[in-house]
This record gives sequence, structure tokens and C-alpha cells, in this order.
Amino acid sequence: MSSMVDLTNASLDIKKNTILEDVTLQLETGRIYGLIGQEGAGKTSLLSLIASYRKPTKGAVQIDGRDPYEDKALMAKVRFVHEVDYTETHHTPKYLSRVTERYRPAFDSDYALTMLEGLGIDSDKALNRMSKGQQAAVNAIFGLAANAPITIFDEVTNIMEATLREQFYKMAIEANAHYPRTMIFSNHTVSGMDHLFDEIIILDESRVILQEPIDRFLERGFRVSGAKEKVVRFTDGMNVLSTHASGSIHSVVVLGSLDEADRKTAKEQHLYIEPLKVQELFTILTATKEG
Amino acid sequence: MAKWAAWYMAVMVALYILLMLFIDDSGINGMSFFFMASGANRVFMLVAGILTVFVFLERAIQLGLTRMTFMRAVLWTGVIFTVTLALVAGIISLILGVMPWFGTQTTASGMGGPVSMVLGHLLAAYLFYLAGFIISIGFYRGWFGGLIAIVLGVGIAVAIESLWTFRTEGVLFELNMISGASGNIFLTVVFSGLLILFTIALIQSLIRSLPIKIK
Repeated sequence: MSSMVDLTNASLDIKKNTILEDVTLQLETGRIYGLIGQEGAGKTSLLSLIASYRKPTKGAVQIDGRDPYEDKALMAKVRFVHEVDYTETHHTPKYLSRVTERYRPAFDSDYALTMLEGLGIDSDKALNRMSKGQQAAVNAIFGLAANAPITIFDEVTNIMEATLREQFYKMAIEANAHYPRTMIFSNHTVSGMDHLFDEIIILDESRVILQEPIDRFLERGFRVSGAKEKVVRFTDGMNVLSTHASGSIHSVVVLGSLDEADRKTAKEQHLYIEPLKVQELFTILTATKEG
Repeated sequence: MAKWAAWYMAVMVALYILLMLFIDDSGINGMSFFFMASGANRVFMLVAGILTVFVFLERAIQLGLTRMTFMRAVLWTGVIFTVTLALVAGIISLILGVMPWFGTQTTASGMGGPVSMVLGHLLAAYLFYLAGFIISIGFYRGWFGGLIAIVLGVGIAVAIESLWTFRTEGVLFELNMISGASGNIFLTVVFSGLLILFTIALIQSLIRSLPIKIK
């Protein structure tokens, strides 16, 4: 599959601060990426480079092998969805969809309005009269409906209610299946989003410390539970990060992967092995690095 | 922006009618609506220019447009609004002028004729808009950029006022250029055109590298 977005040793300085340093990434069409990083790690700045909101101080950003900055055709390929303040927006989603259609020929107005209806949002209601969660949902749905080859969601689901958020994630997966694109979800917390991602990118202190497929990422750690003596014996020599006891059940978080022989042993000793969640691994990996 | 212009024009008409009905001054009472609006239009265009980047830039980039496309759209919008405001002011002036309570004087005494008045008004209003656009770009970059942009904007406004003041009398600066002015309308238009081109080139170089800031 062709590489749609390429960042090569990209750095960004704002005034005297280094916001991004030596970032190298390849993003492909049809894949959903989870960009995780703590607050202030540089996630929005990284996405700003892809969306041509900013120009890198050093290095290169390319889309389809060309610099997208001020390139009419390439900038139109990116839809960067970030938090928007609608407090002064008296327009309705229906009106905004008409305006968007004018500038983005691939924007599917019918899809947007149908999806909003599915979420119980009135398309004839002015945006400034909607709840913050509903405003965020309109913003996100419009992002999907743009059918842009590169669609970026930067912390837009944080203020949505849990049900609305779940419905939106489902719609995003369906939309990507229907119209494959490079989709990026960026957040400082990814609880409940694990199932979305094909690949994980971790940004820490201005640098990308990891980019890998989700299945390989999840093999970086596991939790083993069972009788205390058996768990202790099984994890002997492993990189144990934390231990938790609940009654007779002993549970241990381990950083590292298991081979087939380990799995067989665990099964024989009635130990329960489960993968860690993306958020847990992210916290462990960034904490381990700092430690 | 059309909505802002409609509100502005309505307020100006109301203000003009009130002035004419309740103020008893021969200087004011003889003034046509177009004459009064021409100065106010410049201030309106300056404010409209100042708002452009803050109100529309982020939305334009989100819609997939480049900064250059945005700039061209803003420049053409300025042209359309400058001409439309002058036209509307002229039409209202003609309508009110046939009524006995309102004045018909289009230019101040000692100044040029109506043609130079209209030309000067159009060019000056557009340059005020461009000056506002520069100030908007400057402040979007940051407060220091904003301060520099204000100096540039004021310089542009002073320049166009100076070029036309011998015919239209400066609205903001009241510079007396009559003694130094050539009185050659053709040259004044040419220099105004050059000033517009210079300002557009300045805007183009400033907007090309403008980062979009996300709150």
C-alpha cells in the first residue's frame, strides 16, 4: 500500500521553544492511527504540520511525495477536525453543510445529516443553542462526511457523552470501510478507543518514541493472574511492573512478550493471561522512559 | 460581511436623518448622504479588514483552501464591498436628495468635483480595508506583529489620505495637502493604484507564512 503521508526528521520551533524534534512517520491509506501523548507532548503541533497549519522549522512533510504547504490540491485532501468554539455560531448544521459542499466537492451532505439524525441531533437547530457535546458531535460528523483522504480528529470526542462517543466511533469505522482514508485520532487518553486503531503512535516530550501496529504494540506487555505462588514462579526473571492482590488471586503486570512455551506453561498452571489496554501500556512505556 | 454592511448602512441612514431633522446648521444641513457616508465607509472598511483573519482564516483553511486563495477571496470581497457601499450610499443620497429636508452637496467647497470625490472615496476606502487586513495579520501573529502592523496600516492610511486630501479632505488626519498637491487627477489615481499594489504585495508576503493557531 502506498505511503500517503511522510514526515522526515521534521522539527518545529515556536519562538525559542522546541515543540517537535526530529519526527519521522509514515502513514498509509486505509489505516486508522492512534496518536497518543500527554498534554503538551506536541500532538496538535504534529497534526498542524500534516494539515499545513504550520510549516516545519526543519525536515520535511510530504503528502503523495509533495510538500502540501500552500499546495491547493494537497491541502484540500486534508480535513483537520479540532475543537471549535461555536458560541457565536448562529448557523444550523444544515446551513453549514451547504457551505461545506461548496468548497469540498467530496463532502456528503446527505450522509452528514443522516448521521446527525441518527445521533438525535436536530440539523435545523442553531449550533450555539446546542450542548457542547452535541457541537463536538456535529464537528466530528462533518469531518467524516468530508470524505477527505486524510482525516484527523484532535481530541474532539473528549466532551461528547459516552453513548454519543461510542456511536461516533462506530460511524468512523464504517466510514473508513466505505471510503478508505488515512484516519488519525489524537488524544491524551485512549480509554475506550483501543478497538479503533490499526497502528499506535506515541509522542513523548516532542519526539515520536514509537509507531507500530496495534497487535505488535499489545504484545509489549500483559497481565497474569492466578494463585500467588504460581504467579510468582511464572514471572520469575520477567520485568514485573506492578502487583495487585485481591483475596487469593494475585495479579501482576509484566512488560515484555510471551512465547508459545510460556503460554502453554501458563495454561497448564491455570494462570490467566490477558493483554494490557493501550492506555495502560502507554502510561507504562512513557513512565518507564522517564524512570 | 454582507450582514454587517447592511446593519452599518441602516444605522448610517438613521443617523443622517436624525442629524438633518434635529440639527440646525447650514453646513450640516446642506450635506448629502453620500458626502457623510464616504468618511464613515472608510472606517467601516478598516474595521471589516481588521476582522477578516480572526473571523474567516481558520474556517477557510479547514475547508481546504490555501492562504493565497483566502487572500484573493478577501481582496475581491473588499472590492465588491467598497463599490457596493458607495453605490448604495449614492442611491440613498439620490432618493433623499429629492426630499426638501435633506442636503445635496457631494463635495466640500474648494475641493474637486463629484467624479474625483467618488474615485478618491473608492480608492481610499479600499486602502483602508487593506490596512485593516494587514493589522489583522499582524495581531494574529502576536502582539508585537500587531504593533508593527498598526504602524504599517497607519502609514498606508496616511499615504492615501495625503494623496486625496486636496480633493476630499482627510477624514482621519485632516492633513492640509492643498499647497503641495499637483491637482492632477490622473497622477493621483496612478499613485493610489501603485499604493494598492504595494499593499497587496506586502499582504501576500505576510500571509504566506502565517501559522494557523488552534485555541
